[in-house]
Amino acid sequence: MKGIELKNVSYQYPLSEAFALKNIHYTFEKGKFYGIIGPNSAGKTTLCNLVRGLIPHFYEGELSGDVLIEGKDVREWDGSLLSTKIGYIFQNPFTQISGVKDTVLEEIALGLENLGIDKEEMIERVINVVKLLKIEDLIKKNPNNLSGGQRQRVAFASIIAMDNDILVIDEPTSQLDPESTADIFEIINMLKSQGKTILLVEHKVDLIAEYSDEVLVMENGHIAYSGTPSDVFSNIELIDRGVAIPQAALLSHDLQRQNKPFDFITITNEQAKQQIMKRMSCVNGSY
Amino acid sequence: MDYEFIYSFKKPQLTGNWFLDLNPLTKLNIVIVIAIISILSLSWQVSASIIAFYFLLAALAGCLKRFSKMYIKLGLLIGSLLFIMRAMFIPGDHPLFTFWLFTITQEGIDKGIWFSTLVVSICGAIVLFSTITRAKDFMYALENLGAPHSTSYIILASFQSIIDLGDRAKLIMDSQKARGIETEGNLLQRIKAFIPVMGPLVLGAITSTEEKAIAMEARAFSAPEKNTHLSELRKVPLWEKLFVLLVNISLILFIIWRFI
Amino acid sequence: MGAIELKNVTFAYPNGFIANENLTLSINSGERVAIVGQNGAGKTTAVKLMNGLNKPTKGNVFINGMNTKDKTTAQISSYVGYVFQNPDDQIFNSNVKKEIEYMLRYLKLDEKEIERRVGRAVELTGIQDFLHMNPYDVPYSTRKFISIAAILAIETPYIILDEPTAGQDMSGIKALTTLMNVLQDEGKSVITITHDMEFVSDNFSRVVAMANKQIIADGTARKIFWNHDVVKQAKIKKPQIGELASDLGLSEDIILRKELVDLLINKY
Repeated sequence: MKGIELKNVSYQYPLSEAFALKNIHYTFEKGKFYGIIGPNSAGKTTLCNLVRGLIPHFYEGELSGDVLIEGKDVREWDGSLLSTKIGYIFQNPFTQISGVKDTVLEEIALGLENLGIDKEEMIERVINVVKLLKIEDLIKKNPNNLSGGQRQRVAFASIIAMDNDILVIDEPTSQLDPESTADIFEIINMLKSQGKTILLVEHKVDLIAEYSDEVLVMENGHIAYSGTPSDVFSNIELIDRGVAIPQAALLSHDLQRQNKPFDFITITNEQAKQQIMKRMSCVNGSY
Repeated sequence: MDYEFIYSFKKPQLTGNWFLDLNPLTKLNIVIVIAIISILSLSWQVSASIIAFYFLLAALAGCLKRFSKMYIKLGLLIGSLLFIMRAMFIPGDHPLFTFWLFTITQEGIDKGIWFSTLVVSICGAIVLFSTITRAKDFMYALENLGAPHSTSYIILASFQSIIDLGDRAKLIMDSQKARGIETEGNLLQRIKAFIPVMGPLVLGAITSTEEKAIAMEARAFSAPEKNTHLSELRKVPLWEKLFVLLVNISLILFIIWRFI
Repeated sequence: MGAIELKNVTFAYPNGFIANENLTLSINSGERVAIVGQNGAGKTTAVKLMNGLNKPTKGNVFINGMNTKDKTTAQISSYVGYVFQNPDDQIFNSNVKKEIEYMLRYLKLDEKEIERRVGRAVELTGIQDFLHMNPYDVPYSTRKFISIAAILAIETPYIILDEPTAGQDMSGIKALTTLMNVLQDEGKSVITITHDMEFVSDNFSRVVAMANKQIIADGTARKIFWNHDVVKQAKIKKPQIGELASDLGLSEDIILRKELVDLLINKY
């Protein structure tokens, strides 16, 4: 089912001559996990702003083409209604905390207060999301005193509590340590299993390869490649174009170059492991 | 999970201290009445008694330490400054002594005492109110009276952003120090060191305001629904209403006694 | 004695909170060191001890033999350059070139020298195209390179980079690698705080792992990543290839892709 359709979309930020997005034609289907990668300034965040409805509701500028969210043109959507439809989480763990709540519990409830959810249900939903994200030990703490990783988990909790169908997530782990990054990916993976539509911008391609259903590679404001992670990451051209690919794929390419290829281009560690084990057992068997 | 904490939001969160648990508007009413009495009394003895009374009220609310810490410092500073200004410059017929260009008169001293106790007592009302009232409760009370949701958000967020701004100023100062800008030394050097701090501070504040606006929008800030509240205020009990009435009647009686 | 020497250093904030406990560390000229560990482990406070922003509560820090307690941060800054994590905490000029020149003019260098240093810093960081722009009109990842250039121009023998790879794409990481190689060729020490384990295994021979305010291990990247206890305690991760090698039960202590490729070609 179609969630968000982009038809020949181009966009320029106000006072900017360059196109931030050029002729984007793509359909995001419901329930799928999209990984969006590409070099900096390729238009990844702008794409998020568009899909999230911030363009044209928050940022002005020149928008052409059609952006259909659940079949309805983004221009016709009430901007505030879109936020109840599409959740948005971004890089900076510090600006996503409201700064007006004394405890994490109240912080998570803020979105629900704005939606006018009655108190019984609000408490129920906050409890559920706290359990889901395993942040029981944070609820009494002041959100303004948390670490970056903790704040980012609270930001996820606050958005997830609002129960949006679509989640746009822009580089959520760029300021986090490996452990917090793993926590965040665990959360994102869980959201995927709940059937949410997820658009994730991320430089950590190994994780994108592991989790996403579809990968979009952006370059100079357009979608240069798209397809399943295997399709996209087995394309060696990507490296020349300054796009990182997973270590498992690089390993595959290296072996291919030395005429000892795997059966296929592996893109995750798990696939590479299977291939190597197969090879090891052949060798060991021949002894 | 701490369910006791979570479920505490089902009821108004009371502290058990009757004075602290008064509605923020009741507290506001009380401190305003006290300040008015101080102004209308035109007597330093009344103002001074009121200043002492604040400490009693703060003790009643169990916030004596916090209140004293802030109020004594502020009161002494403002009080002594105003007293000296008045005492030095107000002319009169009863000179007490003269030094350099100034002649200190009995009138100057009297007016100085009166004015400084008055201003300190008014400051006390503000300090006491902010000590015994949580900002969010006050905003919530104002929202109940019909103040827009966005106004209370902006006011509350401003408190936090002042703290954030201070933290960031320190960070920027450090980064400028680290690149070699001498921030210690004479006044000129300090002023010079200050310039590099202002740019990033202001720009950072602007960017984070924009990001915060987007983040709050994602939390349905401008959703058309009438918003609900997780933590709520107690419904004002009858005795509290009567109490406010009593306080206000005493004010009226005081005015009648004083002026008629 | 090392060029940068921390001797039994404990650092506590004025409010009494201890951020670093009993750090002992010696870094030589020309060495390249990665500091890894969880957020809150004390990495940033530790490097701030090296440039005098933090002064030890106990113990001593020596830079080229001088005790940081006797110097102001500004004085130490001509020995130790420190690029903050967030470039927006540093950049304040309205023009990229001015930003890079700022400290050089502050130090009253002559025009020719300023030009030489700016030219070199700009070349090393690859920001030629942005020189006449307002730093706030360029992307964040480029701003990071501007803040690096401004420190490089001071030409200090020791340079600290705090999370240089955060938010960088492949070309950004490549540029950082080249930059560090050039600095090393010039005999400069580079100390880097990072969460990017691939970046560490590709570029650093020496790794210092921190956990809970202390240094828990100091050694080659290989030794650190294959020490299960250290990885667990510092809450770091092996680089992907190391993880793969470990999953396969290979005992060769592999951390680089080339090593795994060679092993597979030769053995399997």
